[in-house]
Amino acid sequence: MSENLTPSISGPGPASTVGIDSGPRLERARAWSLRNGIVIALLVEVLFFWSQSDKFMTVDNIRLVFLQVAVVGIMAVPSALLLMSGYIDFAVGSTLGLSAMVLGRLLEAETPALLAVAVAIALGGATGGAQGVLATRLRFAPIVVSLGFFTAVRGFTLVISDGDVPSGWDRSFRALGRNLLPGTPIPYPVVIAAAVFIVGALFHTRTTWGRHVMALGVNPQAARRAGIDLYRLPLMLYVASGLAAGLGAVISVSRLNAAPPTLGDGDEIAVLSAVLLGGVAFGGGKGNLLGVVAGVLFIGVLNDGLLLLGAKPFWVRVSAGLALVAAAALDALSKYVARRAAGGA
Amino acid sequence: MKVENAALEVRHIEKSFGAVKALKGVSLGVRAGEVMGLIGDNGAGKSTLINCLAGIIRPDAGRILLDGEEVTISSPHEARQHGIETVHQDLALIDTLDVSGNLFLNREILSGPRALRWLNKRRMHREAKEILEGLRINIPSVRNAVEKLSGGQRQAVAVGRSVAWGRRIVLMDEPAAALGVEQARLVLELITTLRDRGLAVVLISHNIQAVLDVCSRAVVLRHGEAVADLELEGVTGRDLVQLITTGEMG
Repeated sequence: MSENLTPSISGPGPASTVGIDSGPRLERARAWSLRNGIVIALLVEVLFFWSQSDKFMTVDNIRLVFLQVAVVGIMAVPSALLLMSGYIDFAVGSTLGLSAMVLGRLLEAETPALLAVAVAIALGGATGGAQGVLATRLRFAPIVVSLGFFTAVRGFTLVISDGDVPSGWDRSFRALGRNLLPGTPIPYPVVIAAAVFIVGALFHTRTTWGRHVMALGVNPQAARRAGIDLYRLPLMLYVASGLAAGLGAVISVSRLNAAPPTLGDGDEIAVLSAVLLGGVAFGGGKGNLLGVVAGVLFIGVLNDGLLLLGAKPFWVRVSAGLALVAAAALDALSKYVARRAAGGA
Repeated sequence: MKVENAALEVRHIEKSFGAVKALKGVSLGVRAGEVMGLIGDNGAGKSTLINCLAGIIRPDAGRILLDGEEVTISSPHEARQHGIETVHQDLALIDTLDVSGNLFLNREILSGPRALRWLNKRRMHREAKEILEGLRINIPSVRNAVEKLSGGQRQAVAVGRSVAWGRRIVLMDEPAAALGVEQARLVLELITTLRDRGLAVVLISHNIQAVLDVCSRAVVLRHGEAVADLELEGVTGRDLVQLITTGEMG
C-alpha cells in the first residue's frame, strides 16, 4: 500500500493538559479570582467608600443600597440567563416603563390593585415574549430587535402618558415598595429580589433547563444535535425577562406612588453592566448567578457611594457607562488569560 | 445493490442545496452486526447523507427504512428515539460542560418528586465513570470540563457517548480523524464492540486502512451518487482509492 493511502493515522498526540496539573493550587486561585474578580472588586469598593464617608456603613444606607438595586437585581436574573443562552433583552428598562405607565393608568381609574398588578406583569411578559418570538423563531438579530423594542416601547409609553404622570391613588398601594418584612430590617422589594435570585440559581444549576441554557450558549449546533430545542428555552427566558420587568414596574410604582413615563430609563444599562461585571460572557455560555449578585451590588454601591461623596447625580450616568466598559475590559482580559493558559495564539 | 434484512435502508435519497445536487438518489443498506464504510472524496455527499439520517437536514426525496419499516426523521430528537446515534465530525461537545454532562446531554438523570425534578449530578458522574471504564476509555475525571481535555480524549468522549447510547444504528463521521495511532486503534475497537453487540454501524473515513480493517462492506459515493457497493473481502486499498477518484475499479 502506498503512503498516501494512510493519511491521518498518525495525527498529533494528546495536547498538553495545561490547567489540570501545572501548579494546581496557583492555577485554581487564578481561575477563582478570574471568575470572581467582581467579588474582590466589590470588597475593595465597599472598603473605599467606607473609608471616605461616615454615612456609608450605616443600617439606613445599606438598606437604601439594597432597596435601590432590588429592581435591577430582579431583572438581572432572567437577563443573565438569557445572555448565557446567547440572546439579549436590552429593552428591560423600556418594558418596565410601559408596565408602570399602564399600571398607573389602571390605578388612576380605580381598578382593583390586584387586577392592575396582574395586568402590568402580564403586559411585561407579553412584551418580552414578542421580542422573543422575533429573536428566536423568526431569527431576527436579537440585539437589533432589542434596540428596536428599547426605543419603540419607551416611545409608546410616552404616547400613553401624553405628558402627564399618573399618581394620586390609594396610599395603601405603597406598602409593597416601602414596608419592611415584619420583624426584620429588610424591605419587601429586597425580599422579592432575593427570592428571584434563589429561584434563578436553582433553575440554572439544578435543572435540565439550566444546563441546556449553557449548552445553547456554548454550542447551539451541538445542542441541536443532542435534540435540544434551539428556541424554546430562550423564548421562555424572554418571557421571564418581561415578567421581571413587569414585577419591577409594580415595585417601582409602589415605591414612588407615581408612574412617570421615564421610569426604568437607563435600567437596561445597569442590568447589562451588572450581568457582564458578574462574569456572564456577552456571547453566551458562561457565568453564574452569584457573580451577578455581586455585579448588581457593585453597581448599587458605586451609585450610592458617589452620591455620598457629593458627586452630582449626573455622574451616576457616567459611572454606569464606564462600568459597562469595564465589564467589556474584564471579559477581554479573561479571554486573553484563557488563551494564554491554553497555550494558543 | 439490495441488502437483505437491512437494519437501516435508504432508497433514492435526494438532497439539493440551491443549485447544488448533493445527493442524487442514493440507495444503500446496512445490516445489524455489520460495519459499513461510506467513502468518497470531499464533497461526494457523505456528510449530507449522514445528516439526513441524523435528523439534521430533511432529504428532498427518497425513503428511509428501519428494519424494513418506513420512518421519517425530522429532528435529531426523532433520530435518537429511533435508536440512531451519531458521532459528528466536529464532535458536538459542549466545551464548558464536564465529561458526564456531555455524556448525559439531554438525557440527564433526574431525581426528586414528579413536579420538581433536580439534576442528579452525583449519579451522572458515577454512571459516566462506569460507562467510560466499561469502554476502556481513559479520562482523568468525569468532572473535568471537556475543554480541558486533549483532542484525543475529547474524541473518545464523543465516540463513547454514541457507543453508550446507540441502540440500533451508530453513524460515525470521521471518528478517528486527528487521533494518534493508539487512540485511533481504540476508536476502531469501539466500533467492533458495537458490531459485536449487534448494532449497524456506518463509518465515514478518509482513512482507507481503517475502513479495510473494520468494515466488511463499503459504499463509494461520488458526486452525490453511489458508484459502488462492494464486499471488502479481497479488496485492496488501491482498488478503493481508484473507485473514489474515478468511480470505477481498474
